[in-house]
Amino acid sequence: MFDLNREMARWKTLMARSGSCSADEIEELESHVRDETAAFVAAGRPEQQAFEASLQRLGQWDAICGEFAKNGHVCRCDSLVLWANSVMVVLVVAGSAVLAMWVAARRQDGLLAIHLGAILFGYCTAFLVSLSGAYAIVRCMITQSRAELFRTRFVRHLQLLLTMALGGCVSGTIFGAWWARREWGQYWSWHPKEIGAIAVIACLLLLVLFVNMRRLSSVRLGQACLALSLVTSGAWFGAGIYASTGVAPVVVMLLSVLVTIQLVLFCLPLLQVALRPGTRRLAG
Amino acid sequence: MSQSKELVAASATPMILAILSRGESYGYAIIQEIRELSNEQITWTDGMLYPVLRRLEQQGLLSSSWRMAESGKRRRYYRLKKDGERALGEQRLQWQLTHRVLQALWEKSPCLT
Repeated sequence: MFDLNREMARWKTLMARSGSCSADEIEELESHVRDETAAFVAAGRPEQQAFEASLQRLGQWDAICGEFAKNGHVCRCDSLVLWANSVMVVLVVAGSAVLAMWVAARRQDGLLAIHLGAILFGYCTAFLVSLSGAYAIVRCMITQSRAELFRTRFVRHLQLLLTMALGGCVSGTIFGAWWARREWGQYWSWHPKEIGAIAVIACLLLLVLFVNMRRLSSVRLGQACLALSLVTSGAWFGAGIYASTGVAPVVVMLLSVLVTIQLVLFCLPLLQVALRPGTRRLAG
Repeated sequence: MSQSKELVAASATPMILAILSRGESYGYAIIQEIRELSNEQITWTDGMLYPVLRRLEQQGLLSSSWRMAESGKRRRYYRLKKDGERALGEQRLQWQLTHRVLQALWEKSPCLT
């Protein structure tokens, strides 16, 4: 005698063994099969035939599991990177707050503390944007799998990071100008560091525009992120070196390595297109 | 007349988004609606709808929640999010453009069938 619940349990066990479908997804498929079976039964078919017909309409279980697996596999890697990036943002917030408190305690200057804390947060977050950009470039060069899905998540991640970076840089610059007025008698003196801050803010605004246009591919967005990071490197350390404000040689060396890596990553997609004309691999 | 696999795959997303733009729904009802609207001419492999729904949800175009239906059955309901509405608008423009171009071409050239 046919027992729908027993047969359903057997089929669910088969799905669960594949390891590609979560319990939630299997429950949803079960709900579908039960609805379809009930519709066939209502149309006059015996229950066993109705169940078999609905399974046939549902399709091969291994093909369905394969489709679910495609959804999950790459997402885990993307999630891990984007999640790690978010953790770094938290660390940057904490670091900036510690610096601000340290300056406030040591120099007894609240305005300078807020300026330094905010600008450090803004610049460091801009560097984190470039880390996501670098991942986007490497990922899209290795695989185009679930490119559309990655792009959506990448864009959302960038929107958040850019908003935070912009907030830090703008407030840091305003507090810096306020501090300069108090210390030096004028808000703005076109010091290399001030010009650098304005350049970073302009780049951030441009990147926000690119991201919200939603037309650029992940690779192009990644390159724009690296460009932002290069400008930030110049604004932060480059301006210090130019103004000879005591930048340690080790910092200069690290900066050179960082800039070189970023330039190589920036040029990689261009090289790939140049070496393989007509390629559409980087469309993601 | 059955549609090619590629066309079915390409049209699945706008169809799902368009159905959900009229209100929340669940997998089985979505498939039934497409069957009815196409007079049973568009026949998806039912199970393939769910990975697509999951992908659209991961893309942030849909949200879902389990609820008890009036019939007493527990079902996963999907609804369109703001990004989903935007994506549907973009898809609509793209498909309308494709439709216009094909229509203009077929009006000018003789029918081959």
